[in-house]
Amino acid sequence: MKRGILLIIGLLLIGGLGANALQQMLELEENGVRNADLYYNIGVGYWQTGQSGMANLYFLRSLNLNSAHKPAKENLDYVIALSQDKDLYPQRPFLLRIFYASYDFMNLNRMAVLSLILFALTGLCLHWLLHYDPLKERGLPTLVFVIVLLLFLSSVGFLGSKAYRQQHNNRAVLISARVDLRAGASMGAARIAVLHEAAILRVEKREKLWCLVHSPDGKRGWLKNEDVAWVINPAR
Amino acid sequence: MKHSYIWCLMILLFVPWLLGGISVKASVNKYTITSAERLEYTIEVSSESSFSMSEPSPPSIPNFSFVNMRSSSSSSTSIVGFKRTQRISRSFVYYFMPKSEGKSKIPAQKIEIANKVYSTPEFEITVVKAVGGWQSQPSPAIDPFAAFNDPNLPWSANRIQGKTVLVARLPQHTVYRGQPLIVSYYLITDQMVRSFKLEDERDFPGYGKSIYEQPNSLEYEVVNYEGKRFQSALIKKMVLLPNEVGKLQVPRLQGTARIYEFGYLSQTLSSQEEYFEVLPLPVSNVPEGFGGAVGSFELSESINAKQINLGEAITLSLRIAGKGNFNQFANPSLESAAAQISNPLAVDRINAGIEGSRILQYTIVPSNKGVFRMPGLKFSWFDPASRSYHSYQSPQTEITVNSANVISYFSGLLEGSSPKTLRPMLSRPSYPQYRSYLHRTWYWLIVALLGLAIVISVWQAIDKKRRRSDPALYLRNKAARNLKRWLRESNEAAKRGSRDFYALAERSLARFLFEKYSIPIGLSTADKLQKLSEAGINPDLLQRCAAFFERCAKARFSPDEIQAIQISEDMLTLNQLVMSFVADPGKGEEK
Repeated sequence: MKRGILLIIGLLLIGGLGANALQQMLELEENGVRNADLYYNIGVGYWQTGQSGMANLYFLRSLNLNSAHKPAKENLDYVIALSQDKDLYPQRPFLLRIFYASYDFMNLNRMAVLSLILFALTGLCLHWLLHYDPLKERGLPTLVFVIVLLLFLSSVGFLGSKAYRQQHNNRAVLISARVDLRAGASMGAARIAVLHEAAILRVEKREKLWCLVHSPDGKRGWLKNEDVAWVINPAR
Repeated sequence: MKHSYIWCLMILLFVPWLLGGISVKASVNKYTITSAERLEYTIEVSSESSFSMSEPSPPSIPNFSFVNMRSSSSSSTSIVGFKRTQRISRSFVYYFMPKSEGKSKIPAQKIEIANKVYSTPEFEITVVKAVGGWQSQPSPAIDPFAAFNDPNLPWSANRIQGKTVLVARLPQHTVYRGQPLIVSYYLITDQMVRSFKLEDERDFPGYGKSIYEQPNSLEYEVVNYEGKRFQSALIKKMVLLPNEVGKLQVPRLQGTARIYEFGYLSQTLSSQEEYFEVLPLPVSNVPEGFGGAVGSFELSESINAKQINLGEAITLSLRIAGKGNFNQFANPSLESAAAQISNPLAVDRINAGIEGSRILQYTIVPSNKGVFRMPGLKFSWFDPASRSYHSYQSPQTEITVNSANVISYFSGLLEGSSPKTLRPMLSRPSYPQYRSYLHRTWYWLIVALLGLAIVISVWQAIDKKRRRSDPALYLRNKAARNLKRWLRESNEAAKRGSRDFYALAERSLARFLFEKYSIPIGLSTADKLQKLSEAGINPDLLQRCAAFFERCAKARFSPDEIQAIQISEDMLTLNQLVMSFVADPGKGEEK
């Protein structure tokens, strides 16, 4: 009897150890854990099970929390390069790519620290300017103060923008294999384009059963909600 | 209404021009035939000018079997009223035999001539039972190719001479298990075979196969076959990859050749039986990690960088080129505890799965900075030519891994968005909950402190500016501000009826005089009065001030109890005195 119980316990342990890693990570997410590495690993797990749409969704979720998550960015680019809709994505000029790379490198936390440093610098420059010897020319401290102030205001602007986008990310991913983008919110509406799994969309409006989206090449049309997964789940 | 008539007229006028004078007609010899009769379906194309067209394929008629066809062409010229008219026509006659009684429909045929498509009408054919005893024709319905002997057809079977065969040829009859074997199928004929339609391919157990080459048309060359001169055309080449040992039979092809012999006739052909022997791979000296590769290979490898920053990836490319069973061996694995290594991405440039090159790309991300020693890659294969195993061992390579920096984040910018492999999962012991700095208390505490520091700095600067622009006014205001505080202390002592009032009052007045007239606090009362006098203070006020100082000195050192009412009165005196000093600017302040 004892041996039987021990055998059952042993089997349960072995089964537990061999449980799907993806399932475990999804359970963590279900429990409310928000972590860029967790999302990234879930994305890789989905890719390994052949679900490129869900993989892209989780890479985007990872980047939503940490825009400087380099592995997630690289894997997202990789999945896009393999998708059927890869030609729909715009090719950005080199300088614009540098700007976006810099913008992504400055994730929300880095931008917050930068804003704090610039705030301190602005305060110091203001102090220097206000307590500057009145008998001397004030050109230099004024110039430095204005430059630092502009930098500070820019960083605060970017910080606000990033914080807002993190909370209100309007991107979504197509999770069905092949879907028609339609001119209206009905199956009888004219077909505008054909989109495939893993296409990244920008959601403009969401209704009960349909949502108005923009395809990667800018086409605007309606898709069924069941074909789309949101980076920020509106149900949450 | 008028417009519609005009349009109809225009269309009628332009139709012949649009069609270029080509007419396509279809007809049948009978709409109702007996089961013993033959159906003739004719397509006739005519035009006033020459045209070129390919032979239409025979229609597929339910319940009928296609027997044969013939084609003919004719041209006629007529001159009427000095006008020369030419007519060129081609006709195609298809012969069918009914299989059973009933109704069948000949579908409309699409015929393409000079990039235009013409359509023929549909026909409905009824097959009825043959009248008993009446057999004017033989019944080839059982075997459509029995029409060779039909004396009613415009050719005669005894006029067909020649030989057409389908043969399979092997470069060798003995191979090793896994070694690719190319089988070539040739059509060999001394007749006018215009086309060959491959209809069936029968496989036998023991191998996998893939197409190596399949021409679209018959390209003849002269060969010597069975001691005679024949024409030979390649039909198909296929690759066999044996996975069993022993005697195996090659696939048998079957198809129909269309032979031109005063008209077209069809002949079914099958390739002859052909066998080959498969030997097992030698069991001695099998190298460790042998993955089943059989063939002749050349290997080389390359690394995209020998010095990287921590967090960056390096790509190791292993190129396997040659001829062998590319689709049957496992890719060599690369493992290291000091790095994350992806599964290899295979980039194939392989023909029919047996010859060409395969590039395996491994993405490696070292875990630590320092010197990373690349793990060795080993690939083994069996070479049938030398009948021995060979191995490739990659050389030891050291990669320098520097500390990560900000620039390393941008290292992939110039590469564009074309990563070669998916990066693997990250090894994390736990996943802490994400909270941005904006949601943390310490962040906003620092912001508040910095804001406070800025406010203090600004206030000081304003204060400094006031003192600099009007020092007297500044001092006066400051004294008035401080006086309120000092008087408040004295007032509280007076309310309590405390003897301390006199000490506080004396000190308050002394401080006030110091701040307003810069009279040192440490001076004696007489010296203070002297300084006040020098400052041009009203003598009456000076006298009252002297009296108050004297009163304070007496009260402080008096052994008697002081009444609270007395303290209140003195408090009132102090207030009046201070108000008088505030009202009297003095000599120094007037300046």
